[in-house]
Amino acid sequence: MSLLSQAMTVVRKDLLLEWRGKGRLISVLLFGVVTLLLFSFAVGPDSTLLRAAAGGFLVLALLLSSTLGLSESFRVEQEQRAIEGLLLLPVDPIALYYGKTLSNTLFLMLLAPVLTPVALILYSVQVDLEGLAVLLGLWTLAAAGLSAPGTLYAAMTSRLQSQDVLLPLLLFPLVIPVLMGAVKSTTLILTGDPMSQVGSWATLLASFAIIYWSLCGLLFPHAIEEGI
Amino acid sequence: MTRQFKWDSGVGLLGLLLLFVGSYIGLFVAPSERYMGEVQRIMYVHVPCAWNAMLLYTLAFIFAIVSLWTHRPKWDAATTAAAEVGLVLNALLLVQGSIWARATWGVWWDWDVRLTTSLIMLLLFAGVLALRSFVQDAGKRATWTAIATIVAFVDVPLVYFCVRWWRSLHQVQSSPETVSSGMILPLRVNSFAVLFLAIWMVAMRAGLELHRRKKGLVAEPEKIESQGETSHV
Amino acid sequence: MSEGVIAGGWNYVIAAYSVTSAGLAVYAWSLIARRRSIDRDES
Repeated sequence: MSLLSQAMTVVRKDLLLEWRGKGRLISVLLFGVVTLLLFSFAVGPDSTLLRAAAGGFLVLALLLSSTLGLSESFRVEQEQRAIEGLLLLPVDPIALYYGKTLSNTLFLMLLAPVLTPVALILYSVQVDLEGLAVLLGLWTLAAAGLSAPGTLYAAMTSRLQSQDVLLPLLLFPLVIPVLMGAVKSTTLILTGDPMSQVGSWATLLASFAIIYWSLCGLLFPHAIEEGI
Repeated sequence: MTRQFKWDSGVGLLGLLLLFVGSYIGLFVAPSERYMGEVQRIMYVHVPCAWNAMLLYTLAFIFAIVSLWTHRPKWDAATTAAAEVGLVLNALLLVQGSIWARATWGVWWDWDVRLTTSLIMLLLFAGVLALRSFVQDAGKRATWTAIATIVAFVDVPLVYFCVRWWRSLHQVQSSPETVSSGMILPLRVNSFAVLFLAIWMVAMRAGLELHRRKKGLVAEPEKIESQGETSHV
Repeated sequence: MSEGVIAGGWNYVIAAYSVTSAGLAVYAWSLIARRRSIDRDES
């Protein structure tokens, strides 16, 4: 079985499990909505402030929600000790990594279409359809960037008791470029982009994703060679 | 414990001596800067700490690659030591930078590009060291430390460019750094001073880490019985 | 402007140098102390 088809098998398995137990996705979405609400309470009902900060709040809510999603991504394997099954079968660790990272990216991408409209409504922001499409495209790049190191660290921390602390602690400083890129470009789309800077920020997001998809793929086999 | 390195205390003492010499020159002999006056003398400890912190993190990165490649304990010890000493210098440079900012701009923090990047580096490498404390198995700890160090180091240039870009869209802060010839000597002396001190600290810390690891191997007989399991942390 | 715009400049310099020396000294001392206790245990 080629690397690609192995990876696709992993993705299909994850998506199937996800579909059967929709609870995880729905819980994470609800968490995202609550976070958006909390942010608005932090700033107050001043709509000017909210509109200016809308991009930042939306991206932060997505980031916090993604940590929940990521930390779960190896929990299923761990609970059933299924990762050992996966490793015993001829699944190349690299295929496992890219399969997992892809399914995590897809999972994260599902958050945006729900949380974005909620944010737009709560923070009284208008955006046209074209802008919305660009927003979702940007979030796809950001999701890819978050998933690459996120999957690696999720695998490494999945058996540690303090995973809930360690995963964000390790991940958040690391993905600051993704956070910045996503916040800046989202804010520009929501509030106007007189100097066409969105393209540059999108390039940053894409570069981060490419660098970390390559690097973490190389490192993942080392991370799990002694079992998780 | 036999001394791992015989030469390290000599280097350390040399570093200490140089630090006194360099600081003396920097504080009392070098000219004061045109616009900032005496405050500029902070540079004679700030810049050496910054250079050496970056050097140590780079060394940690190199040691991490070797550690991952060879799986030998001494490279894990070296990675950990370099990262930790780098972290100490990183913390110091943030405090110095904050004092500088307070003196020149009246605020303790002004989102200066290099200071902001340093803060993020502090968090990145503190995370690497924090990870170590949660992993019991020495082999796994070594592998994961190496991985986390490599991932963190690769992020540093990305963070730097990102923050610089982010800042350039707002105010443009100019930091006056006219380095006249009278300033080069204390700067150079102190840079070597901190370097030698750092080398001594890394040697000491690596030795401590190796000792800890040796002790760990000796003191866990129950581990041998559990070799039958396929995975354990 | 020959003296420099910043009043109380020396205080900041003293603060910075003190923090630096204290930080280096504390860390160095922690290394030496740990090393000493190991040497003691093994002798």
